[in-house]
Amino acid sequence: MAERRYYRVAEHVFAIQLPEGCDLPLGNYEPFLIPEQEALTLDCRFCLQLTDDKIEDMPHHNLFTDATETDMPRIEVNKTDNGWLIAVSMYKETPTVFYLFISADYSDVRMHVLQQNKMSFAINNAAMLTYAFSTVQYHTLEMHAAVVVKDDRGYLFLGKSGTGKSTHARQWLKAFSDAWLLNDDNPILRLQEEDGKPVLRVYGSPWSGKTPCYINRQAVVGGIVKLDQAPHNEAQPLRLPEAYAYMLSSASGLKIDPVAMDALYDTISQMITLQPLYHLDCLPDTDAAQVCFKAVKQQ
Amino acid sequence: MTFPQKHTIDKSTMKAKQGFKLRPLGNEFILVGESIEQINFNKMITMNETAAYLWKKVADGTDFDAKRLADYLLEEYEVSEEQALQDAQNTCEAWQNAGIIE
Repeated sequence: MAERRYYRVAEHVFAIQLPEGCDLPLGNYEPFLIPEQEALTLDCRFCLQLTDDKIEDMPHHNLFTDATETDMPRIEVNKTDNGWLIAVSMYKETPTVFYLFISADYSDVRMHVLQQNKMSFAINNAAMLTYAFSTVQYHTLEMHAAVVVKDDRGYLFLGKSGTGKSTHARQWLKAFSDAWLLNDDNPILRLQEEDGKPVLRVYGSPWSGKTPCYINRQAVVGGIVKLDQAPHNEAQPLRLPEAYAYMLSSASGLKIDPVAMDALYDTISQMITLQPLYHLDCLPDTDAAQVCFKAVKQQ
Repeated sequence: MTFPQKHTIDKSTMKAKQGFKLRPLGNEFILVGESIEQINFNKMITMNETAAYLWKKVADGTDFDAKRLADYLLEEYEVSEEQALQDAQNTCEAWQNAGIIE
């Protein structure tokens, strides 16, 4: 009998199903675990199943391969009859770690891991991809960002790998004694409606890059800031097209799929209209955090 | 700013490259490469309402030239023929430079 565990991340429920007796390191998911009897009363976005089936043998054709950032996993996207077959390796030139099949309606999500010693990498990346694909139609974005909370408001820092998102987040923790880190790499943004008004919230997740920061809490968004390293600290509001481009490149999603792109556009355009984005030229110092907070807070 | 020789743009026909999507954003429009054909088109073009109006007219890939765009402008906006042609030529040049027509 396989063992199925249910998790709730940013109010979306999903499951991971492991073979019987399989003792995998899923500690980062523990804060998000919910009891089965509760999960069964809620909509489940997907159930990710580990399998020994050779899903890579199903007929498919290659759509594209995403290997743009050198220190990020290489993701090869293939189309099958009724869904997507995705091959993921750790880096651009390294062999495939796992295959992930996602049916178009998310009712069948299976992964076949080729390298057993990379099980955590495989499960985390498979869950993240499926989560991003299956929730975008619910105005939910899985972001590549660091996020700190101050005065009950969440501040997201965007930028390519290596621009210093984590470093800047740490400057906030140093500059403001009441600030805390909600997530260091993959928070969830969600646009919701409360009392007829749109509200943008940021949630912690079981995925946080190299920093073990798996916090099951949320905050209303106080600011979203695109970072660039510079010899000075200066914050500027961004125009909508730039804001859109930065949000789109920071959000996970099946960007080759017209349905997913419509959902991403719909979600991002509403988010950036509600929450103007800022650009911050910054040094790795606490003054950068002060300059950033002051500019964003004034909006 | 330099413009191409008038005759090069008047006489040659152009067409919109395929695989782009025009999307409204605030009071502007953005043109983004969202399909397989344009997966490596790593930039975004902003268009005002007039440019977006012209793009919609030619987005299906039919041949056009500056004169044709000028006619579209005259159909919709109150401008002189001379001004329309000048705007149309500028638009063609901008699109050529952006790599969204061929």
